[in-house]
Amino acid sequence: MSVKYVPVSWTTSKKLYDAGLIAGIALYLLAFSHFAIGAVDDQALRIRALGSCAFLLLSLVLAIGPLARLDRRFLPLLYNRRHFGVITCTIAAGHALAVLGWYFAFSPLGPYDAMLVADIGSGHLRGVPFIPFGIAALLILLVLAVTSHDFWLSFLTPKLWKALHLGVYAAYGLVVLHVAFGALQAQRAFEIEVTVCALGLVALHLWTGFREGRKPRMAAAAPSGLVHACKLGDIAEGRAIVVRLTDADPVAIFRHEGRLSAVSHLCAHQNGPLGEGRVIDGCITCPWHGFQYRLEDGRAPPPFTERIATYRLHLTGDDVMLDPSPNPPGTYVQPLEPA
Amino acid sequence: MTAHLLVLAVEAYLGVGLVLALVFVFALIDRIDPQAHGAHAFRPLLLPGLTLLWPLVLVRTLAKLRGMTDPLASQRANLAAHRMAWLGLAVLIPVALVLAWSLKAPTEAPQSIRIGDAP
Repeated sequence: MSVKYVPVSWTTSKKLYDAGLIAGIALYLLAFSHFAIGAVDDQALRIRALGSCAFLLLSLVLAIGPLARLDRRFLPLLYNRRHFGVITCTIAAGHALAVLGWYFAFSPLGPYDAMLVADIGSGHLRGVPFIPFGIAALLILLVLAVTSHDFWLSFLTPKLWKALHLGVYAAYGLVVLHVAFGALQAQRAFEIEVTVCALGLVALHLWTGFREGRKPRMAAAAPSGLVHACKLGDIAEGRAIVVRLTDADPVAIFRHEGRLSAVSHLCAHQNGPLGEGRVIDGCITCPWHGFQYRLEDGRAPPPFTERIATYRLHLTGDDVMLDPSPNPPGTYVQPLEPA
Repeated sequence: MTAHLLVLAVEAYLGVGLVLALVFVFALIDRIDPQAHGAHAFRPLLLPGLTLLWPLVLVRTLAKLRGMTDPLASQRANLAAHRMAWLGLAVLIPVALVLAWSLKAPTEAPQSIRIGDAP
């Protein structure tokens, strides 16, 4: 949410977040080096420590989203998730460079050529190409890291940017394959980390998805085309209820100073759940990154320029009825004032 | 030979990308994004992404220079893709782990340094 791009929009909370993350990584690497079993030299130890750390970080960064859906106390972790992702990519790149600099640095072919033609795999799986899985995963993480600046969100559009960043799930699958057919074959130390992180993450996402899927979805009633959203008294002051439609984006209906306004539930920034946010200073405030929108027209207050779709509401008795057709983003709609 | 050609192709791709990235940040960005006006410190941060994704950058830049506007896009496709991604991973990850465990040698692999050993 900026008028003019800056390299990083630092805030105190972001600095604390990054400092805590970097301190945690340093502690993990130190502990790994101290307690590691079976490493034969400093180089191998460095490779294993960075690889293990990158896998753990990637698992953690993917856990933040569902944890924040399940419990709002995890929302602060989500606030600076992009920095978490960039740091994860940096650690993964460190792992790759350490591998290149040790196992492939002395080949007459050159390190990159040598890596591509190396005899790979170990144990019963000699020949299974686990290195390309890691290369592909690192490439995806690099693309995500280098497109994390807000410029890319604006340049590519939120839809394309989000689609590109869904690649992180492909990267995680590739990392699991890389570890399962690589490190897991040769080292017992990774078994617990890989099993707990990967299966735990799958269970967490499935549970969150199951919970989200159980929330009722509403269809427009014929012949009016309106959706019965809720009762007037269902919406707390300064808060919203979310109407999930069967064949359209979800809608958030806010109550502010007694009047009702309906806007898209999805923030224009990163699809954050606006309907779970609050009205602060007269504006809807996204719980993820604090982006704000005016209730009556879905526009960010000047000088900001983001816009979201608005919707029309009708009142029948104390039933709040929603017209599910979105207005173009930024369209003014008079807030509904109950009698 | 194939590996060497692949490495050369990647180097050529990145070389073209870097040239286009420099043209973009010095000559084009002000014409396509008002938030870049007068903002210079952030531009070096864009170079790696512009270099890596230059074909996509080229397509988007041409579209923006032609004045094409982006239609109101529903996010439902991405939300559905997110669900499908996790359903896919819920199958892939257990299968990969079970396969890896079932094929795992009963003892630790030799710890000698050998090209290609799992680090």
